[in-house]
Amino acid sequence: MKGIIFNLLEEVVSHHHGEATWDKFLDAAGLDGVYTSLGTYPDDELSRLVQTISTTLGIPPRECVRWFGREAMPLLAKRYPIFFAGHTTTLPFIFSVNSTVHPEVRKIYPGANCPVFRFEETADGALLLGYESPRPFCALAEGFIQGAANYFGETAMVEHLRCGAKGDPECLLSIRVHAMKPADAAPLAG
Amino acid sequence: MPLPSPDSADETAQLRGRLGRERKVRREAETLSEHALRELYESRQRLELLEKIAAASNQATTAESALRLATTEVCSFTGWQVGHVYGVEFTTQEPRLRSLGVWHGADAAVLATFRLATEAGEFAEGVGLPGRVLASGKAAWIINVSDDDNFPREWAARQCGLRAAAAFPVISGDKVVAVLEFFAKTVREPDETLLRLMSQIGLQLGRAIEREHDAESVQRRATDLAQARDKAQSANRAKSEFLANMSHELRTPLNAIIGFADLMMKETLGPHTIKSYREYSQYIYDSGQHLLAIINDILDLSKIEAGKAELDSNERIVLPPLLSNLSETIGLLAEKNGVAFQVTAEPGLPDLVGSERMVRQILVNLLSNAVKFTPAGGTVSATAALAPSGELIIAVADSGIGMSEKEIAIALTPFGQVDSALSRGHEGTGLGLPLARAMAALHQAELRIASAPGAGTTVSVVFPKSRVVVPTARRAYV
Repeated sequence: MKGIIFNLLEEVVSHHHGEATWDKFLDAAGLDGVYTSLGTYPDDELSRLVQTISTTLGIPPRECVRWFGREAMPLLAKRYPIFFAGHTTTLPFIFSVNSTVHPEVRKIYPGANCPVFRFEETADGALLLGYESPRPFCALAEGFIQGAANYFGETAMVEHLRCGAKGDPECLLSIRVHAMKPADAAPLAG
Repeated sequence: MPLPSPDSADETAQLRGRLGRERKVRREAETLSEHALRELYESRQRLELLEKIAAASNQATTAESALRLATTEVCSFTGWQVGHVYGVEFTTQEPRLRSLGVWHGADAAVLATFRLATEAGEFAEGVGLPGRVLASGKAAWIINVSDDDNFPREWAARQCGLRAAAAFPVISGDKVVAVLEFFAKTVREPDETLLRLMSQIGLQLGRAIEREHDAESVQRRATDLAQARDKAQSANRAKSEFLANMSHELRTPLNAIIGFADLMMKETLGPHTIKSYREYSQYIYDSGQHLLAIINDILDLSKIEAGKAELDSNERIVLPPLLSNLSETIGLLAEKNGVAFQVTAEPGLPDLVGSERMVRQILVNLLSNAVKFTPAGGTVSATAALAPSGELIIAVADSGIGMSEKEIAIALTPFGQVDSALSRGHEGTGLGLPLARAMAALHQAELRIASAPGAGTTVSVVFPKSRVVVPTARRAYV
């Protein structure tokens, strides 16, 4: 996992729960916490952090990851405004991930293992997003999607039709976006 | 835990400030690295793209395949959805841009309207995006085609959701020969680096087109030459055939003229009452013989040129008797012209295999030429010798007027006569040397001419080893 994800997690946790909490999480997970955005670190370290946060806050791990994804999106928009500049709604932004965002990510982070999404629109207006990722972080994708919808002032309902975490060969998410202001982002179990 | 003292509170605030600074420094360092990495990645990508297109331009069998590859590669490099190529036609006075049918589109169904409008469109210089590139010879950028007032396909582009556009020329020599254009679905600010890259690609592609034109024109020239050669050859063959037939037809009446002149000259049927008649019949006889000799030469040469000549025999030719026989015939002519004449056959000279008639004719032609073109007081010699390489060489040398290289070429051409003060007075058909060369060639022998104006001429007939036979009787001495 790229260091940028750890940096974002630190920022989200510190923002909502204070810097001391992040220090505690690192200690509890037995990690030294030295992450630079350009480095690559074991996936296992992220899993251990998620597990620690989940145990400490009493929240299921997948919900922790979703929360992190949702909260990380505005931070990404601040760091990389260019990815968001051309869009005013969620779906075109999601479509641009394969063609624009991930190619750019690969430029900055050589060797980044970004998933490739397949898109399909259903008859009733839902967007199906399928992907094979070597990592079990489809909850992060879901959180990012919801975070993006929040950023564009919309709401995204995401349903996992198939899930790598449940042993399916791929993840398949059904996404429905509504032009509705969601409830203000709240700190997790705040 | 004891409360921090005011000092330690200051210290904590200081440390906090320092931590904040350190964080900022780290973030800035990361940003700088990200930029550097991105630059590196992109310049490597640009280089790879250029290399790919350069390789395609050098190796592609057709310019079209190089253009097609470039269109696809530029689309995948830029992430733009559409790429298309216009060719420049120079058939009319004003160059026109017409689609070459090279199209790359991300989504055929969505882009169908724009493709139709693009491939059916035709542009004059200055009109639309490709017209602008044709007029300026430079790459062009449109931030949003919907805001551009010189983009006739705007309606189709809008319908297909295309916004930004860029185009660049393919330049061959100093002319724009094609224009590549690209379209993106988003509005894009001009990218100077990309425009520069596009110009470089245009130059590379120009090379592919130049190469194709070169190959085409070389091919065309070769075909033209081959056709001209075939035509000339068949015309020459027809001429030779005609001459061969004519010569044959001429000889029959000529033999009658010579025969009857001979009878009259010898007063076989009774004496001439007037003395001049005897003299005239001698003229008729001599002129007839001369004409017959010319006709025979023409017949021989035209047979050879028509490809119908073969060696009439492959007999053993013993050279010394042949040479001494020649010295008698040519000796008379030399004496008449006041030219010293000498024949040398080296001892132990091997025999030749071939046509004695032709070998004699070759030597007669060469020797009579030599005598003819040597002023009184000069010398003419014929020397036969075996070269160390095993070739047999008969050299005819004179101290005559000589020839320049240009004149040698003329002398070797049938009916070609070197126009000089001396030659003008000489009779002849201009067949002597060409015929000698053709007959030598039938023996696989080569005619070598060494000459310079004023320095005399040496013509050597070089018979190959395969035509040389060392007589068994004489081998013992070798």
